[in-house]
Amino acid sequence: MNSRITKVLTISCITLFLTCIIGCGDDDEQQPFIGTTGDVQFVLGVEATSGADVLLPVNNLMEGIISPLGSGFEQPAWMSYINAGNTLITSGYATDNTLTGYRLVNGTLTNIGSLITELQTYNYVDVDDNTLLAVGVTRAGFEERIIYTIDKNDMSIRSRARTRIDERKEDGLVAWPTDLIVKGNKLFMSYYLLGAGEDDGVPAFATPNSNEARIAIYSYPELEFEKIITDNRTSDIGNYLSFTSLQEDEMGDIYSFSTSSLASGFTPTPTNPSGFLRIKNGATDFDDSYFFNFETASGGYKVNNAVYAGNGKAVVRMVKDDSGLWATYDPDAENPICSIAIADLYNQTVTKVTEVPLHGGEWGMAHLIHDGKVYINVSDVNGAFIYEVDPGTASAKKGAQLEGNWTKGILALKK
Amino acid sequence: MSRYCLFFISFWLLGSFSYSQKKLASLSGKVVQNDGNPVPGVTLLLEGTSIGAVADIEGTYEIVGIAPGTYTIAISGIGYKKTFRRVDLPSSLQVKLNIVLEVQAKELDELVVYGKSEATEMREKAYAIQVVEAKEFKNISTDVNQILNKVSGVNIRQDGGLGSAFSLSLNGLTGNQVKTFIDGIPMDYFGSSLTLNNFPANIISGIEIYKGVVPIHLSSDALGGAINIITDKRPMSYIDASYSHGSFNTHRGAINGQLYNKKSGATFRLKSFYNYSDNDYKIDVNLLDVETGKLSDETTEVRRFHDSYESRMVWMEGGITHKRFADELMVGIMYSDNFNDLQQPPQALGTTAIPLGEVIQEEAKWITNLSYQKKGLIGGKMNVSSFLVYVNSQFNLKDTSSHRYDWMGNREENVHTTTGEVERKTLFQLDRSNLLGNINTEYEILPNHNVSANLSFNSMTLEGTDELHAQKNTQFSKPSTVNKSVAGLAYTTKLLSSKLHTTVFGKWYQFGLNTTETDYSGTEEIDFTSNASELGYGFASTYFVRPGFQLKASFESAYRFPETEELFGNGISILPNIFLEPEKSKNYNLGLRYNFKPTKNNNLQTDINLFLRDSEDFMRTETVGVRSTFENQASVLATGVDMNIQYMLKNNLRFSLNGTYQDLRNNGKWVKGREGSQPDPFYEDRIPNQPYLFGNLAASYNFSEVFSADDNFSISAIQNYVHEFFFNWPSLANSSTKAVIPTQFTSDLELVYTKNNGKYNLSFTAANILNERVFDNLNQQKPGRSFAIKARIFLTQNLN
Repeated sequence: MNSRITKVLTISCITLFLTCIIGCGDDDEQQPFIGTTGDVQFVLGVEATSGADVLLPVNNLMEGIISPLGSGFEQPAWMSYINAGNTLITSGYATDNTLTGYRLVNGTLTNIGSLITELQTYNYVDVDDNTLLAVGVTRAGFEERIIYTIDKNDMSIRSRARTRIDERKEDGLVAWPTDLIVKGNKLFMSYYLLGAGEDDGVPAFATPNSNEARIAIYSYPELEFEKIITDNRTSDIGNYLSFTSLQEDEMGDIYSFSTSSLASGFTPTPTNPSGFLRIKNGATDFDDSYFFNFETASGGYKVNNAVYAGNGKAVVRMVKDDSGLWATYDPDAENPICSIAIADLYNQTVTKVTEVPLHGGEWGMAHLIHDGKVYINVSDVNGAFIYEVDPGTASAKKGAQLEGNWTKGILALKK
Repeated sequence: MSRYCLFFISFWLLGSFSYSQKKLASLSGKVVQNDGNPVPGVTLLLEGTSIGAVADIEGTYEIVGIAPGTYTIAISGIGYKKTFRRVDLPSSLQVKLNIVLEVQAKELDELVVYGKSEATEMREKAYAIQVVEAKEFKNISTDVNQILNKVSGVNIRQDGGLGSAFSLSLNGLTGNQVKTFIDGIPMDYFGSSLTLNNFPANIISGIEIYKGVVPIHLSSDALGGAINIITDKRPMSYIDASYSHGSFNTHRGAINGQLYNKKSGATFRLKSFYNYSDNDYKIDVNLLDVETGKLSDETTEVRRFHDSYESRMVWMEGGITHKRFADELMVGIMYSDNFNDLQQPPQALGTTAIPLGEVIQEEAKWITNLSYQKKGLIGGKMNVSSFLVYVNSQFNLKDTSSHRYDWMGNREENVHTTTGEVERKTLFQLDRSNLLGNINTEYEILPNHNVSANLSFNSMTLEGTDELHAQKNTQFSKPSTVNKSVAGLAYTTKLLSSKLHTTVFGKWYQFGLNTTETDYSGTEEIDFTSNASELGYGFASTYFVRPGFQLKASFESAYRFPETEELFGNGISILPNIFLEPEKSKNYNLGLRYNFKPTKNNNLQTDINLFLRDSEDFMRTETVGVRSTFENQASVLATGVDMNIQYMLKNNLRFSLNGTYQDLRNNGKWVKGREGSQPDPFYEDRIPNQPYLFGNLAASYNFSEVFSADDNFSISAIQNYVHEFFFNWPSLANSSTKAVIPTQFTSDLELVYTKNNGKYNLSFTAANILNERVFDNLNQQKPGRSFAIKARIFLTQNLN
């Protein structure tokens, strides 16, 4: 019997030992994080046909096929791509609300770090070489919004300012920021009023009170609320995830666009016309003497998004068929409704860019202003292309094709 | 649906009168070993018929309802030499026959027989089936999942500890594509209260794994493969109680028993379990500095603090078994519930920086069941079985907390007053009721020629509310109904002196969905209806080249309709997709089984299966951020091989190695919705987030008569390997920037001591003994080293 027990112990020990030998293999070494080397100038944020996002360095926007296969940075979620001067920032709600910075380091696009915000951010403004502002909001309810001051160098939060912007509990409405701009010691924040989803009569994202343009003004850099300015000649400024609702021209005047459009996400459709307002340089009120009625000037089109390109010219994505709610948010559209025009903000004229076909809209409007040209995404169910728009001549050229659904961000980083 | 119900009621009324009333003979006796000890569990079959019996714990048996005549009885039991006896049975006579069996060196290569009739056994043999005998696992602290994970072709991906979500893949198909059954009843209707992850091994007597082709008696719409868990139904009285205690404050208890009166056939069964775990295992996190938004560069080991799990189940059945008019006529009632804390959004990739501290989900279920089974009707030529099950369940999900937690378990109050921890606040209640029914009949038209027919239906109603979440409230405020029915017909034959077994079958599927389509704000409310009916077919064939060498081939054209979770989500991280198309797949399987026994003490056993799955509208989860939806992948081609090699020296030493390689590729040439215009750049790419190379290695040594003549000690070491795979499409982006689920390599150790021939059992398990950092399919860290000790007692008594 004793020998049996000895045998039990011996074999048990051998088994244990073997377990260790076989199991103690070396761990997989983490591969070093490498970007794409080469002459990187442009960086695109693209959605592949699978629906996943890739941040993709490319060398040529006008020729060939741009493919997110085999190159670029896989993104963890559906991202936004923010042009922040020397830094490119991706923002999305993956495991957490994460902002990640990328820069060119020795010519290679490199991840320089991430930060996590407690609220998902939707609006950004690049203030200077070191600073980015981002506004975080909740998607429902009456809750404080947070304006984050972000250090772009180490991708960290420097400070927070909490604000309710414009909360109207009795109407079930809450402010959703649409864009930010910093001018001198002021932060201008455009927003629209939408249903907070707390009130049975006002569903989430409904806009029963949008026949007014509104901007909240804060001091900068303290970010203390100062006042709200309004204008009832048009509708709420910008739209859901527009990044270009407020833009500054060479004279320091701020121009804003209002869509008054069901297709741009306003329901019920505001009755005031779609158009542009202005805040003169140094002023903190809308310019009473300026309203560019886009609907009249264009022969019935409404602004969906607009990008200021210089010399008073803006590249406008516009819609005539305004019958479908959220219909512009459809880069893979089967029945595309968007077209492109050049709006002269000074002379209040609209010239259609006939080279760009009807196409689906986006969340915001991916664009790059480079050497006087504006590069945009033009996509629908039949494919996605980069177009080069010349604001001076109101013409466009079809560029590279994307092997993917659409281009969500077109950016350039200086070496 | 009502016509099915009517049909069922008539069936139930007629069922008990349908047995033959001729003057039949019966045969009874006792089966003993050479030394005179009784041999339980032996199968006795009258050759040329499907009449038979299984000896009870005392070795006694009784075969009733035999047409008069002369028969050869085949007596077989594992570990005994197969014996044949000739017996003359005059009309109305009760013949006594005692049988002495010769002990034989134990052979494990044969299929385990569960006392099924010859017909059933034969029919099943043709399929690419693998049978796991639970006996060897019962004493270890395992649930069914852990047993299955050791089977070739099977991979279980579990998210965390006890009770956490898991998905099973079998020969290239995953999740709901592979259906699981308990005694033939589809398991998904038991809900989260009763899953492979919490079902204790004690309750079961075996597991049948059907690869690629599913027999018609498991009537459901599986796409390719089924797992049938067989619970213990032997005619005896017993009590089987176990308790285990393990790391992470894990307690698992199970009490199962049966009272059986041989004379009256009165049988009462109890199955029950209780599981609890804090699941507070340690993980390595990069702690978040909320102020700066930065994650620390170094990881810190923290304990999970909001991940506890509790589940309970009591299932009582009473009725008559092993009588002339019914092998089984039972009515049962079951209650089960579970309670689950969520530590982080379940679909998030990796560990979240901000953990959840108060999100919970719970489910409670009442199930009533009625089952009937009779073999050997109409002179032993017909078998009938049927069940009716009514399920009523309530699911609750709560995310209403305004507080924010960190990984140290600290709470910051009222940080987000109007939103929950994951997203919008939600207080979701979903009521679900199901009525399921099934009738299965088998008939021997001629010796060696069988036909069988099966009819099943499932009618489900879902209705729910969410006072805080408008979208879910609209989605579920109006009842949604899902109806499925499957009818099957099969023909089985044995040819070439029983060397070739073949089954051909056809299945007709019907599906109906009535539900509501809504939007984010819950204002839209559009009725949505979808109906489909499809015809599936297939065959399964096996050829015994010579003893120990078997070839198998099978094919099925199968359909599967979306399940509740796929259509309606899980209330939190899986979003509804009511537009899902049914999946279709053509499954081809080729298998070889070879048993090599050069000497008495050496045995080498090999199984190899090759498979091909050509699927359309393949359903898979597409995860974006913290949410996922089920989507149809237009075309997927899966090919693969799984193999199992086992070597045994005497009855003591055993080595086994099994491995699976499965290559699932996108076979769609065009981007969905853009057929003919945009080629799919991911054509021929590997389907993302699916393991494709995995296997395990086990070594065990068995000592008998360690301290006394009736004890046994065994030690086993098991290693599990899963090769790394990409979370997303492999060709997307630069491979060095991609999310990878790293290679997992774990080692477990199991020690089992049994005494009094299995009456008293004690086992010790050390899982992940080397404390490897392993991750699930979403890169969430799984438990490190853990220990469990389990005591089990198995008492039997014959009440006669």
